[in-house]
Amino acid sequence: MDFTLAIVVFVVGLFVFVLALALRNRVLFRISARNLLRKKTNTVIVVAGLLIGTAIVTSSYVMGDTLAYIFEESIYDELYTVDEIIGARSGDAGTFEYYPYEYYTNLSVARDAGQLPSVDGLCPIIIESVPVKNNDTMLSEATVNIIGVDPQNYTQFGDFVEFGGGQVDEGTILSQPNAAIINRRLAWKIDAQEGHLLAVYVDNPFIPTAELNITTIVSNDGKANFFNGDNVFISLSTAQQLFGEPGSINLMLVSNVGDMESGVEKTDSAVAEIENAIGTELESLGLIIEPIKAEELEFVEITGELITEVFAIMGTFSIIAGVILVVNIFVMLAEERKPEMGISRALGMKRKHLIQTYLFEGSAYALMASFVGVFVGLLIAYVMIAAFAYVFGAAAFEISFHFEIESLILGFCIGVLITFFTVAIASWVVSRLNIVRAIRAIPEPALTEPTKRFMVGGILLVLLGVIIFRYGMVMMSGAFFMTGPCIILLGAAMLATRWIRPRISYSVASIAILFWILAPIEWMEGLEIGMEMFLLSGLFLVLAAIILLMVNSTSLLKALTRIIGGSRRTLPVMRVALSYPMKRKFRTGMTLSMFALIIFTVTVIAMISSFQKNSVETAYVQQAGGYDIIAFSFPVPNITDGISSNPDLNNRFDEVSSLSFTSVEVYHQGESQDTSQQTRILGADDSFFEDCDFTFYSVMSGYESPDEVWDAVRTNSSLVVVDGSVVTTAYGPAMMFVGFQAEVGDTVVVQKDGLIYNKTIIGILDEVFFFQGLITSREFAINEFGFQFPTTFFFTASDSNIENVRELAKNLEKGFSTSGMQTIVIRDLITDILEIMSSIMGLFQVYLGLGLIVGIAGLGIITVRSVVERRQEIGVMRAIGYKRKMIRRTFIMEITFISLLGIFVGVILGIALSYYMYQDFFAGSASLPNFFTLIPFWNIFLIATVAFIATLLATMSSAFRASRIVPAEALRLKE
Amino acid sequence: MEAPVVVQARKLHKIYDTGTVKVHALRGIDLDIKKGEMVSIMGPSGCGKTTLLNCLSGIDDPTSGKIVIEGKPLAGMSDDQKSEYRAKRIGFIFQAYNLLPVLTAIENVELPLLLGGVKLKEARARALKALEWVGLEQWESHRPSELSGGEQQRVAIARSLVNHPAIVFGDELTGNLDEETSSQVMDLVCDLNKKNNQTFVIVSHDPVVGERAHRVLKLRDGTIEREYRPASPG
Repeated sequence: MDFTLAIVVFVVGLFVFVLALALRNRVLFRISARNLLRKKTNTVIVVAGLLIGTAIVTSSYVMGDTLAYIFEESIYDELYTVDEIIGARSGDAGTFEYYPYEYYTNLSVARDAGQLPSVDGLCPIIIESVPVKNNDTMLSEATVNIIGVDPQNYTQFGDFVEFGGGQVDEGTILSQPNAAIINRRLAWKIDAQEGHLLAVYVDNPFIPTAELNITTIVSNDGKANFFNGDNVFISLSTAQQLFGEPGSINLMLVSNVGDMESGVEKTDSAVAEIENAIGTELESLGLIIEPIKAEELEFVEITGELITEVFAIMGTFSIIAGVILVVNIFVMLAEERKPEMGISRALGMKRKHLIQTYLFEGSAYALMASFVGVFVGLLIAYVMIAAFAYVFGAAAFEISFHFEIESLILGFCIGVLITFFTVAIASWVVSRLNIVRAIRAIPEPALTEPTKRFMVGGILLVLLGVIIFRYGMVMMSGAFFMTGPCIILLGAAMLATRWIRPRISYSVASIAILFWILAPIEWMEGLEIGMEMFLLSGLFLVLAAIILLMVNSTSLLKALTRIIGGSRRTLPVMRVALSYPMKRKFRTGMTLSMFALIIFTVTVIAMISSFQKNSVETAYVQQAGGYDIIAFSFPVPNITDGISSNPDLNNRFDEVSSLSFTSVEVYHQGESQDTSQQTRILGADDSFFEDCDFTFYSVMSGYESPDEVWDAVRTNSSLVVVDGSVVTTAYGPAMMFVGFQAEVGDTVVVQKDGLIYNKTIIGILDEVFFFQGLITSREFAINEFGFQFPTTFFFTASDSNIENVRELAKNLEKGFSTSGMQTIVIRDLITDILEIMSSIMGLFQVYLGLGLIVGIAGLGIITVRSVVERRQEIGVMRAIGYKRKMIRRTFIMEITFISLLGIFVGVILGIALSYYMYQDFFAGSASLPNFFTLIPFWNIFLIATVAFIATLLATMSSAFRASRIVPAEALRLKE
Repeated sequence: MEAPVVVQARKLHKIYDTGTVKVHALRGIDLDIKKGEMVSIMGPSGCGKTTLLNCLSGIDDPTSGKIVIEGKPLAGMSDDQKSEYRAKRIGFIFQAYNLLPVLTAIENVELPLLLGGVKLKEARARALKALEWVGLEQWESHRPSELSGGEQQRVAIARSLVNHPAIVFGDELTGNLDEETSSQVMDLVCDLNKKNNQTFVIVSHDPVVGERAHRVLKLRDGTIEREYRPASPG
């Protein structure tokens, strides 16, 4: 059953059940309804606390929707009505092998015979990417799609629209010799106008192969935007002539019945029909029917889900903070209603009736909160998307807000469930009371020795922990592997209280958990680790720290009294201010957890952001390999000749290295061929092996230095080095996008066109941007996979001044324009990437900041309740001599203490956990920067200060209200 | 020589105005209480006993009239001055004990001393002494919830006396106690009154309290209906 439908059915079922209970127990329902309406401020506060969960879930879904929608739109822009393509991708990226035109003829015969009812468009084409130059303006463009089409068939894929409006008769235009229709994007780049001549360079970068007449410029809409490219449309016969492939095509475009969006639904039947018609013929030539639109849409859907997941995991911290707040609020409400509950129980009400009363009330809260939460979630998502649009303002795609109704329904239902179960558990907890103590409002006594039930709980926790740990080891799951021991330790601490003091057992367990979570990452080697590790680490670290603080609260109180209690004037205030939170351990623990959890996450993100900012140099060393510029181009037979003959380039480089590449399939030796993934074999020249300084993430044992590794690769064709994209890193989102994964020492099977070779990985680079493949020597690559010209070049400038490097990069593009050379100044690229990543981290910080609002609001709510709850005690304090300002200071000091302790715990744990990322970020750098100099003290101080001041502001009015309580009235309250 | 007057009230009126109803709780009370005297204020529920006590101790303000304590008119004091005065010169004992639940017995007792600016070490020693007076030194580190009603009231007495106040106000201090414990508490109060020559003003329903006082003021409808001295006080 569809997940959404399942959850809707579950929620409806749940509420039907609650309604049935209410109808059976109308008196209880009436009590609940009156409790709900009795204190409207309370109701508003509870609903506000409860809506957080729904808001976060909804915003995660909506952000996923929006980003998926943006990508989806870009796919429709790119493919328009094309649903499938038939061809064979060649070794060079983006190019296709040629095959006879008859294949199209055979397929069209089948279509005419009615064998392809799902297909409404079929067009044979030639598509090649080449450099072009506008001979009238002398402006060139390196990568332009020359698309040779059969105009009569191409009209089935939509119409060209002339730039400025008007229909284009492509049949007539393209029937003229050398006539070309170009899209507006290309026209803008080369300043082309109708009538200009376009030189096309196919074989020789210096001598044009042909000159085309730009007859018409069409807008970028529809089929003119094919592959989101700078497109030149010519007739198929002209293309066959231009590329020297008479009677051949290299692609067939297929459009399914239906429009741009609905056509994709026919993908399966269209592919099956084509296979039935000419499947055997296609197979004989290695031609593949690629359901390109369906595949890209599927990828987009997965991406959308991943984005939803990232935000959901990030948001989970806020949701947990919200849940803690709700539990706290319910416990406080229950404390307030305890005498009433005691009387009800004395009059014959059973415990289950009390639970039901709270459940009815809680269900109403859940429905109200989730309803409002959906809209708050929409608002949050809108703000976040607007922030993304701001960060990626210069990006090529437009960011527009979009959401699916299904996401809102899901957000509502999940929110309702989170709230309902939180309320249900809180109700179950608060309904456990001693009738006499409840009526007389006497606090529950501390347990002198653990009960049988408590011990059974401890045993169950230990068993559960063992099972989880074992499961983690068997399934190689980092999350389970890490969680198991934490649960075992908590269970063991419960059991140990039978023999040793709880303070000792819980202290030992919580310290052990802290050590376990912060243990060296190597302990997790080989395990699958993902974003959930961040969440689990945070939860267990905070839990352990808070347990440690709370069980040692008496010692902590003494120490604090000694440290800050020196002043005689502050002592009476401090004594009371610190005693309340330290002696109401459950409430304080919950409040501290709520605060610490959020500060922890914000600190970790601030740390990552700081590492990014400070790792430009390290990233440069890791990613640049000592080079200044990387260039990609069409094959250039001899780059050094080209440089020495160009006065703008000659003698301005210390080193020039080149790589060729070919696409291959790769899988681990001993595994099924079905697991193979596409990657590249990169053939490096001798200069690369001699000059490159790329750092290694890991090296196979037996190799002492990078030089030894490179020498081995150069001289032994069975050894390769791979780039860092095969490695996953802990806690980072990068791992979610990784395909092929490997470790040093792995032997992989590399295959292409029936050729199979085994290669052993002896080194993994830190570099992740430029290679993405297996590096071997050019000589071996040519021997094994056929001849290739180099297409990737690395340059080291003689003068590494960034301005000079930028100028050289431009000169290279100019000098090799006809080879379509595109250059990247490596330092600029890394700086840009890190800046964008830093901005994204900033956005995550804002998103996590929502949790901070929960924490602050939580403290505000708790303080309001505390004033009400302690009214009589305030009266006593005033009677024995506390001045108004002392009462005010007592509350402020208490709030200060809780918030600062929460902030302190969160910051310390955040910094401790980020030590991993520090090791990851700066791995391989020549000298590891001092960790403490990287801590963004100012940023963290700012976050802490804002959180603290906001907390004070949220609670100040309660402190003032407390100070204005008239002692005589407060004392009379209960008497 | 006759003992000086420490509490003086003249034409004391207190009206509670709830907006819809006006309740005349005190109707022109005049009284003088001398140093070392133990005065019991008695009367039926709602006669204004607690209101009178609150006004005399400065935790509530009369609607009109004049109160002078140890020669100082309360009306002339600011809220802070009254608080400071209570911290240094007045002790309180309440019916519901009203100890701070989060503090231990000794911490509750030393609180008035800390308010009076006494150093922590000295305050701790004096609080322990006060707990000794009430026979609870061994319960010093227990919290109120771990003590019986009588024990809590004795801690409250220790708290009210620890700073040697000139006047101790008690509101139904035996109200929550059984007969035997009430008697023990009253023994303690009378003993301390004699030993320290402190003034006690005790509001009570309990005839036992009235019998042990030097003077009884009977209140009815906000006025002193009758004043008498019991046969065998103390």
